Amino acid sequence: MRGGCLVIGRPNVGKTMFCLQFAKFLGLRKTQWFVERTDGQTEVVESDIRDAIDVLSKPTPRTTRRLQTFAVPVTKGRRRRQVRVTDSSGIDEEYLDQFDLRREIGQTLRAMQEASLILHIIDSAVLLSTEGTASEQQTLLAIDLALAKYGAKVGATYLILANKQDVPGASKAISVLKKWFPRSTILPVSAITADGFTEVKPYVWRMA
Amino acid sequence: MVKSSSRRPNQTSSKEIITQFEHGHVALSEALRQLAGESPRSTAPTLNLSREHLLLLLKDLDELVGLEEVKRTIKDVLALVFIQQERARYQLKTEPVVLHMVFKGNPGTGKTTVARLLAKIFQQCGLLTKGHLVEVERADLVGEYIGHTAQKTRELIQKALGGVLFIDEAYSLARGGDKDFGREAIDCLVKGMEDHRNQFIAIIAGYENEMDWFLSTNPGLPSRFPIHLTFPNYDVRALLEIAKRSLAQRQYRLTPDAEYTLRQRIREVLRDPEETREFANARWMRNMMEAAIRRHAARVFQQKIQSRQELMTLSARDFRREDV
Repeated sequence: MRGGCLVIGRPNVGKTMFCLQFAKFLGLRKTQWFVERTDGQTEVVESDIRDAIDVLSKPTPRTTRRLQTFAVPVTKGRRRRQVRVTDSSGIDEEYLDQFDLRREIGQTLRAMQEASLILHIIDSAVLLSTEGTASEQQTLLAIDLALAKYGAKVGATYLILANKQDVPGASKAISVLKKWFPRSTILPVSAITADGFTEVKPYVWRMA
Repeated sequence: MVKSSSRRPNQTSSKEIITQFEHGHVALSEALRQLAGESPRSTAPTLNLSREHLLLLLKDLDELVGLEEVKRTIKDVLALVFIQQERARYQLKTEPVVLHMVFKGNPGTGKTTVARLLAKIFQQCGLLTKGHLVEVERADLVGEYIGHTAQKTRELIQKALGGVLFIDEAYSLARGGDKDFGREAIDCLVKGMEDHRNQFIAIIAGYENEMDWFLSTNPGLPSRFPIHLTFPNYDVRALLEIAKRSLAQRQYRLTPDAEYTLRQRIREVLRDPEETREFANARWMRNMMEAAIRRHAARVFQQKIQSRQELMTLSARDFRREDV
């Protein structure tokens, strides 16, 4: 089943924060999360969006450990439809000796084949913290580059969101990203302040 | 009309790749590469060691006389290399094994021999591509005018790529003081080691005290040469064993009398502090053998008829001190 919007990225780039803030931005008050565990079962979690932000998004990496989908009702013309936005656990080379972590990443990689819109989030602030030489940037972006390459294959619309634009100077990261991802659309956003969401919205809307 | 069963031919294979990744058979970056449609990087790791092969390689080392501690350290290092390779196979984090070494010991204690053997062993392991030994000393590295040193050192490093660069009496590079070109050679060597990581192994060798002093003069050096091997002086028994083996190789043998005399002479030399300071261990032994063989030849030449037996037997007379 193709469809839906999938949010991916390395750990602690702000995937969950983006999802929740984006839901709030779209006017959602209450969220219904469909949590797809790695064993294939689905749980439904209902909560107020503000509580969800407190509970689900943490400043420590690896908070989200499974695919979490929420449905956003949209009105298109006269028909009421919904967009599914799926949050995933972070993809990284670290700790990969752990089987359950590999399962989570595998789950995300599979979901990428099903999605019609992939929002790939990259932490702009991290890019700035190293006074980057090209090779440093390359190692820093290695996983992101590989992910984007795979993403180009799966046939979904692929957007790169340069998150954490609220960090001073983060806008400089855009040019760096443009250099490394010359063929991708890159949008600057801040999941905390909801800046740049207006530019993302049409892409998500289009899927409804 | 039969439609091909799968619209996207990559679909099944990418499922497989993801499953393989989940089971820990491929690394994430490799899985992503394959998912992006690139051909898998050769799955065979660059190192392909088996325990049996390693143990076989170590047999040559074990055959050396004495040097128990050196052998143990080398076995530890090879075990580390092997285990890192196995860890890589299971996608566990690996530490790069730095194999640059310091050999400390008096002349003739087997430093060059061990270096040559190590070059061969590492080549067989796949850590070095050629496994040759480039043996250099100060004069080979240090140039005569400004800029000459770096050029000479770089050339030698180029020559050593794929093998072992063995710098004998390395401490002499630091001896000349600050203005000496030796410093430049050291800096150039260190840079070469960074530039050609894993492409060659540098071994610096020399007397123990001098090498310790040498390492202390340059704070960057000890961490770049993490493996220290100390070659002790041989004792009487080991020297005698070395003599016997080298003679057996040349198809000579000792009469019991000759062996006794030889033992006495070794004892004398080791007891005399004047001589032990400059004592060249196995090299001294080899020179001794050569002298004996010459004297044997001169002696047997006097006889009209030489039997096979006589041609191979060294007697006590051949080992007497010349001045006696």
